[in-house]
Amino acid sequence: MTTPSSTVHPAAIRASDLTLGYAGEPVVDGIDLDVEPGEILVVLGHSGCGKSTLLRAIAGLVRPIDGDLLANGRTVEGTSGDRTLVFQEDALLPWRSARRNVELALEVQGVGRAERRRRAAEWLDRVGLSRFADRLPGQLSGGMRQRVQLARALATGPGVICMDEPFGALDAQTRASMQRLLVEAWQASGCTVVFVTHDVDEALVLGDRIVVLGRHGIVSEHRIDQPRDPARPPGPDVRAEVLAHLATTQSLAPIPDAPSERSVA
Amino acid sequence: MTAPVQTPTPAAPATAPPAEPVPVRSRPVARRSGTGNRLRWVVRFASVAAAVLVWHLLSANDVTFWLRFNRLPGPVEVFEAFRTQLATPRYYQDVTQSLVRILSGFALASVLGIGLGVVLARSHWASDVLKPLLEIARPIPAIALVPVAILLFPTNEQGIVFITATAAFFPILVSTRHAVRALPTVWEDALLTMGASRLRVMRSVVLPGIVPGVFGGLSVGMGVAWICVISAEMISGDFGLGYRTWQAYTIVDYPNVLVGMLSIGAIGWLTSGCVELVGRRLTGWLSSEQRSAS
Repeated sequence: MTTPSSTVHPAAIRASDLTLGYAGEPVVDGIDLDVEPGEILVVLGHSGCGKSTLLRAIAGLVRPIDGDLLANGRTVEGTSGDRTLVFQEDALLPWRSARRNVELALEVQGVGRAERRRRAAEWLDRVGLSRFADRLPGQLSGGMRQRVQLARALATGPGVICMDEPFGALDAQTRASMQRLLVEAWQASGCTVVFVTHDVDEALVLGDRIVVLGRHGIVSEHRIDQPRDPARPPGPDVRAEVLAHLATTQSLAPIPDAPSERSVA
Repeated sequence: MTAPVQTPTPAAPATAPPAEPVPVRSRPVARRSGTGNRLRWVVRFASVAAAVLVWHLLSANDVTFWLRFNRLPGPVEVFEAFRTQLATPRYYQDVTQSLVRILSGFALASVLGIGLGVVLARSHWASDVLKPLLEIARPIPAIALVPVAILLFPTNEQGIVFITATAAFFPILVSTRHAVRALPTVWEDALLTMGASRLRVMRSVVLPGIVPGVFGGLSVGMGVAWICVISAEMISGDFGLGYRTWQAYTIVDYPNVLVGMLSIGAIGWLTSGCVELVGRRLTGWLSSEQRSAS
């Protein structure tokens, strides 16, 4: 349950000259990327740049058109419980209560009934939803549903969690609290997180590293050299640098370069 | 070049997330006060009573304008005939016979319709093999299969069940297929990334997820099954409500024709009600979904 040291372990995920797309039509190509074990890597890009496709490929839902994609040194050949995906849209089963949704992941992995109960209760408690364990998803707010999804993804203790703009549909305040919760849960579980977003501020708050993805691979990589603190995100110089690289990936519309006054905390 | 300072503390309890607005658990809007409910029942009953009264006035006064009510038996006559029937064991035999036929036909149709509907929606291969055959068979009214049923099946009984099952089969098949196709792909993707097998996806996502759609088809199927069982009995039965109704007509016993019709209506309503009830029980979660969507 401790964070593995990156000097000993191979890359959690390694992509080399990866081309991805649907039905043989490439969406993005030339991706070279290493995800280090135990880090939060944020993939930043405009809509349609292929970042969700990259995430689905890592999760094993999309087969690469070309190139290599390895997880823990082995070629990704399909889905596995060790690389789980948290979706932006609601992926909870509406006929199962919050608790039974969390238990589902454990059920799939063949965990016994009593242990399932215990671990589901533990994770629901960790995301602050003990009181709502028996509610159906339809009886929960959007933020609460997203917390259940997070608990469901983490309950089985997967090595890698892929998050596809999971907080994109939430209001600013809920989003900030979800980001804090994610960081805490990640610290508790020691898993590797690949987090996709188009929001620079979210990337700055969450990432150990930020990579900017364009249509032809990774445009730039930014390592955040300061303690993670949602109240004090990395300075304007880092933000400007990331934005500048992000701007190069989009030819249609310019990026407004006035720094936003929005506080992420 | 170093990662930010994090001290991963295993199993560290996360601080409680800030309070969020908690959705209020509310009852569906349809629930009314006790008096309101009673009033609605009074209205329902009055509607039936009014229809019977109109029927009585029309037939008792031998009204003929374009429709002719002078030969139609009135409610009093029909009620008398009904009372006599209720005291006859044969009546119960007919009811039981029709029920057995419809329930076995409907059960067969449900199993085959749901099973094939799922397979057709999930497998291209099965779809290519079976869909042309089914699409050709679908427009044929089940009742037009009576000659084929007589040729194919050793007994009348089996033929009638076959026709009933065929009638109910298609609505169930079609609604199941649509229900499977309409499932949000994200549910299946979520399960796959948890490491689920295809069988597990079937068990945990597909089968529970299609229940609302399937019950739509089951309701329609039950209705069509009644139409066909009665028609088939009229053509080739030895017992049953349809047979008895037709018999009454051939011996010019009009009150009993209406007794047969009313019995069919009542029992048909009962069976559809059962399907509805089971459906609502199994899809209770839908109401919470709709509430959150609004």
